[in-house]
Order: sequence, then C-alpha cells, then structure tokens
Amino acid sequence: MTAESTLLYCYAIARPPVAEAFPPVELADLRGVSGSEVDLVRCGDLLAVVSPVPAEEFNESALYQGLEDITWLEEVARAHNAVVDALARLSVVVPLRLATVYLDDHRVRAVVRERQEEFSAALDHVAGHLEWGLKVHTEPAPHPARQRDSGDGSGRSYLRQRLAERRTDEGVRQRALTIATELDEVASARARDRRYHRPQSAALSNSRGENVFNASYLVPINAADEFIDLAHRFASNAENAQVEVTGPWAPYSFALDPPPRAGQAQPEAVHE
Amino acid sequence: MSSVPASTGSERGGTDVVAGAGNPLAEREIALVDLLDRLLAGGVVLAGDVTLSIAEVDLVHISLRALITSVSPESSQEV
Repeated sequence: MTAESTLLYCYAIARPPVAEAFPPVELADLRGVSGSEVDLVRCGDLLAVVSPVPAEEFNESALYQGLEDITWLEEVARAHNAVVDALARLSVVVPLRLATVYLDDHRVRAVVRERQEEFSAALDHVAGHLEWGLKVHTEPAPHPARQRDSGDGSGRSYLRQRLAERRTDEGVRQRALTIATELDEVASARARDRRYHRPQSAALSNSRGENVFNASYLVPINAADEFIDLAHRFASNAENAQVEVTGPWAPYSFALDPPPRAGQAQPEAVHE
Repeated sequence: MSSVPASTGSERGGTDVVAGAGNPLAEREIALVDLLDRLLAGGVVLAGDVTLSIAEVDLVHISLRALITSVSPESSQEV
C-alpha cells in the first residue's frame, strides 16, 4: 500500500462514442460509494467509470473488514448499483464486480487496455439490452396440522405422518421445478442470453417458500414489456409456485465471457 | 394461489412487475440478496490493485456470511 490518501473505485466500462451521452451535468449530480464524485478515465477506446475514494476505507484490510460488515456492504453495493444503473440508463455499460479498486488512473488504464478486446465484445453483446431476473419459489409447504394421535398414538403412526409430509414437500418442490423449466424455456426464447444464479436461501430471500430457480435474462430493451407480460401470465397460471420478476438491471450477469450458447433449460442444474 | 409478490426484502414497492414495466431502471428498493447475486457473482472480474490477495471465492463467501449473519444472528446456516 502506498501512503496515498485516495484510491480509485471502478464501477463499469463504457465506450467513448457514447461519452457525449454522459452530460457533465448528469455525472456531476451522481454520487458514488462513500458519497464520492463520479469521473471518467479514458482508456484507449474505452472509458472507465470511477470515483476517488478514501484509502483508509478501501485499502485491503479495510475491504476485508467491510465485506464482513453488513451495513458497509449494503451501502457500497447500493451506491455501486446506483452509479451503474444511472449510466446504463444513458448508455451501454459493462459493470465491474463490487470493490474493484486501483491505486491511480494509470493503473486503471493499464488494466483496461490489457483487456480491451474482451470489453469491446462484452459491450457489443449487451448493447440494446437490459437484464431481468426470474425466480420461482415453492408454495409454502401446506403441512396439514398434525392430527393429534390420529392412529394409535404410537411411534409408528408418528413416523408414518412424517413420511407423508416428506413426500408432500418433495412433490411441491417437483411441481415448482416443472414450472421453472417451462418458464425458463419461454423466457429464454425471448432473451439473447441467460445465466443461472444459485437459488437463494429462504432466510435471505424473504420468501415463504423455497427458491428452486433463480436466473437472469438479457432482454432487448424494446421487448421488455413483452417479457414482463409473459412472466406475469406465467405467474397467474402457475399453481403451486410463486413466480417473481426483478429488474430491469444493468447487465451484471452478462459482463463475463459469453457462455456456451444456452441450449437446454435445466433448472435441475441449480440444485444445491 | 400463485402470484407475483409485490416485494422481496422490503416494505416499499420492491420488485413489482407492473412498476417496472416500460419504466426502465425506475426508482425502486432492491432486495439486497438480489443485488449481491449480481454484484458478487456477476460483473467483470478485474484484478484490482487492492483486492489482489482477496480471492474471488473469498469475496463472495465473506460477504454472504455477513449477509446471513445479519439475517439470522443465532444460526450458522449454509448458503
């Protein structure tokens, strides 16, 4: 670590022809992580979107601590998203992962130039698209209240009941997965690309049911309404499952290397 | 009953489908868990000067641990 008092936090990469699309006023109004100003660093044919941030908050040991601190994590994540979101509204951007920090603008240029071709390809891939999320949750398990001593009150009747409950749970899960598979198929047909995320743990997703499917779709901006309608129709027809839509997002999930062309829907792959 | 829940993780608006329609990137409260799905598992990974020694997996792991701890302080639940 140097003794410098500021570091550069990088949010995203954009392309200069659209630099004019970032009116200085818009940038001036924007506040990034730690309430910092948002700036552009020209890197050859590309632009890095950055903020000067206090070194004492973003040096290595501070980052380690910060990532374990939910308050800090949430603030930085929301600030990061606010900047990327605002830019994605104005232009085409490829978002960077949370907490990508450099010593200075020379370092930013060096790193971005090194991967210029990848960024250009990624910008081409996402141009004119935004990301939408689809999640499928099971309906909360409808365990009928355990009948009190329905049988002879023995251990055997208790076990029989537990077994029946387990079968019910598995049935509920399978039905949700079937719905997810169908949804994935029709959604993929309207998307340029797709990524599967890990299913969210029930505690985190704040859902009453189990999350069995969690995916992102890269949808043409002018087809967004159609995509939402589709998800909506699916949600109202689906029994035994809850369908949830999130978005639109900047194309976070599609910033990495192009995936193998999504062929078959396979929600099974998202099992824990 | 099947429905599109009006919100996840927040009392306000959340991820309502209707609110999002035709209103790209509209103001809305995003569930942190959905945000971290994207900010930690998505986005281009550049080797930052500062995070060089924080392995990618660690970044995700550490943050999710923080998230889970905040949700259920008493449990050491698997993600």
